[in-house]
Amino acid sequence: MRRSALWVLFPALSACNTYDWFRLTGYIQEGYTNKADILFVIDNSSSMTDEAADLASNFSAFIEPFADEEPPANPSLGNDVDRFLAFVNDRAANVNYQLAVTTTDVADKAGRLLGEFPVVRKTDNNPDRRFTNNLICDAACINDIPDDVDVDCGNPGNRNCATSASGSAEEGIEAVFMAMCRASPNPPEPCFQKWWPDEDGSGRWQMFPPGLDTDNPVDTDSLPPPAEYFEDDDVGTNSEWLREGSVVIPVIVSDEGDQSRRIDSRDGKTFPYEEYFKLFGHRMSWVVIGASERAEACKGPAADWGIKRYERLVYSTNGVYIPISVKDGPDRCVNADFGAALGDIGNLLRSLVSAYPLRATPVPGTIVVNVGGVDIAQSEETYNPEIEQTEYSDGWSYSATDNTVILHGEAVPDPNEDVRIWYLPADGAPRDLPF
Amino acid sequence: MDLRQPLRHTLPAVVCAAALSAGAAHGQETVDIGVIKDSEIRVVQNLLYPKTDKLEVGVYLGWMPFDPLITTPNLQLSINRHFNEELSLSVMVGGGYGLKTGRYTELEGPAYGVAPYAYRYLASALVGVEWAPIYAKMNLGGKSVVHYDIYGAARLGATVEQSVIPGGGVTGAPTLGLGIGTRFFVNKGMAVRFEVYDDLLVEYRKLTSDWHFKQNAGVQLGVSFFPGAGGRR
Repeated sequence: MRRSALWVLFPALSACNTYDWFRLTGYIQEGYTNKADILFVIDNSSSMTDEAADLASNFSAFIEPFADEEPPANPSLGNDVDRFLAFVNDRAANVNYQLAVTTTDVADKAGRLLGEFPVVRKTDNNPDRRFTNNLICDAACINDIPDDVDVDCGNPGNRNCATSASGSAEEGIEAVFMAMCRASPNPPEPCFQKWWPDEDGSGRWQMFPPGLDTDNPVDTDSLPPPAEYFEDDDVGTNSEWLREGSVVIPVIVSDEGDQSRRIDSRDGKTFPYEEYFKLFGHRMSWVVIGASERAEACKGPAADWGIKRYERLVYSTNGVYIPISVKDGPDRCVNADFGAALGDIGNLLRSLVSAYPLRATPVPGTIVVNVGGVDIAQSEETYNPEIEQTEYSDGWSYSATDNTVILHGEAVPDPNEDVRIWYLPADGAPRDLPF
Repeated sequence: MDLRQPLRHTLPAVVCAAALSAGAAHGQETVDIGVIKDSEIRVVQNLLYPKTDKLEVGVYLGWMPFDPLITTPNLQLSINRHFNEELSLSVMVGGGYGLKTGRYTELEGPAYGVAPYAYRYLASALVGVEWAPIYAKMNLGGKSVVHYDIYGAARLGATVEQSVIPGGGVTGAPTLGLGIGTRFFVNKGMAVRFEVYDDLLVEYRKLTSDWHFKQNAGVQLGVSFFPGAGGRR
């Protein structure tokens, strides 16, 4: 009542102050997701047998930190307090992952998820064993099962290896795209593109029937049918893998560069895939354990432009690029330490909580980020000409591509920290307000 | 100030109105209100608490309740140098902290997810004049008489404000303060002061890189002292 009287007395005073309405995210964890849908894309050419075995041997150690940790029922007991604190502070335990595997041999597998358990969930019994089973038994080209890997498919001998006819091209990016096409309930139009073998017998693929691109008249009534690839019946065949709102993490394991069919040969760009992936509406972060041109790496026979494609995807999505082969002396190369490589991927998973998609486009210069009550400065961005990508110091950056605020380095929050992001939406007041 | 002339014109009218209203209320009853003489009027206007050439120091608790999003408790200190009974030089400095109202918190919550880019009051320093054309006394319940004056204030200075959104910056804003107040004299050395004010400021807002007009309207209540004037009536 008294308040009402004051408003009557001073109507002009109360009406004159105006405000810009910032959006506030973080309070309700608006952009937060702990769902990671991980797709391992294995190069199953015969040159990859050793690497696949290494990957299988180290997978248990990789997955262990992401196992579910239950908080103790009674944290007042001494040991349980330690366990409880570990639970609260363990960012990894918060990652809700799903694992799947396919191969770069798109001509044969076309992005299908492989194995007895096509989707391995965090909540499954022995998820590491299920995944290595899928990897060894149905995906990787492997001669001998490593002694420390327990799988149920017997002695495989030489199995799962791409034939020279179908696996002459390692199409890692296309494999990820097709896996997502198969997972989506409404695949975008490019998924249904028809493909015919290249007329020159190079093993590549073309988007039109043979003869139509020449001046020679052809009988259009007897054009060869396209290769079996992706039809209406294939929609939803990977449906359990891709969850709404998840971050998709493709992990390419290959000693070659990318040779995907939708990019011109010898072109190091990633168009049109970068546009196609946006059609699925998932944030992506790419990981590549692959050939590299870095000084410490052994590049092998991989083409520069194929490596460039992977590098572009990795660095434009804040992913991880790990050389698959490194120098061990002047004339000797050894396989990368897969334990360390998988550890890097683990760090990437831990940092999932570091990216916050915004619901509206912010006005430039109006973003404010606060983590655990501490204001976070904007990252300094440095362009690295070697990889043609930008590197970030500790702090936050804004990605206009996916309208996301990303935290870097020391700014990455612990799971029990409150992250708040303010920004002025470019399209005005965010919603109807109560006055 | 001689208030006798206006009172000569208004007092009979007031007396008549009172008489008429009493007549209407009580029918045939009559009320003898006596005769008011000029000498008595002079007694009413006798200045028991003169301010001329005196220094006045005050301390006040204030509150800015009129903004729907930020409410600001504050503490103010004043110094007045009275040139005469009407005019004085006024210095007002103070500090406070603007708190989010329930409405602001509601907006930040999951239902709305928005944060007004508001600035909270931190401190201000203003210098100007006070003009007190009215000195009067009133009877409180027939038991005591209180002497008081009424003044208007105009002050210029600066206000320091801070963005409620972290990282939004601290700004110093040129300020014009306007107010109306009153002193209730307790004794010759002390008065209780009440003031309603509106500080008009123009402040630069860092995140949106623009200038905003803002009003800090509030009320304050406190005591002021007249050093050397003694404390007895």
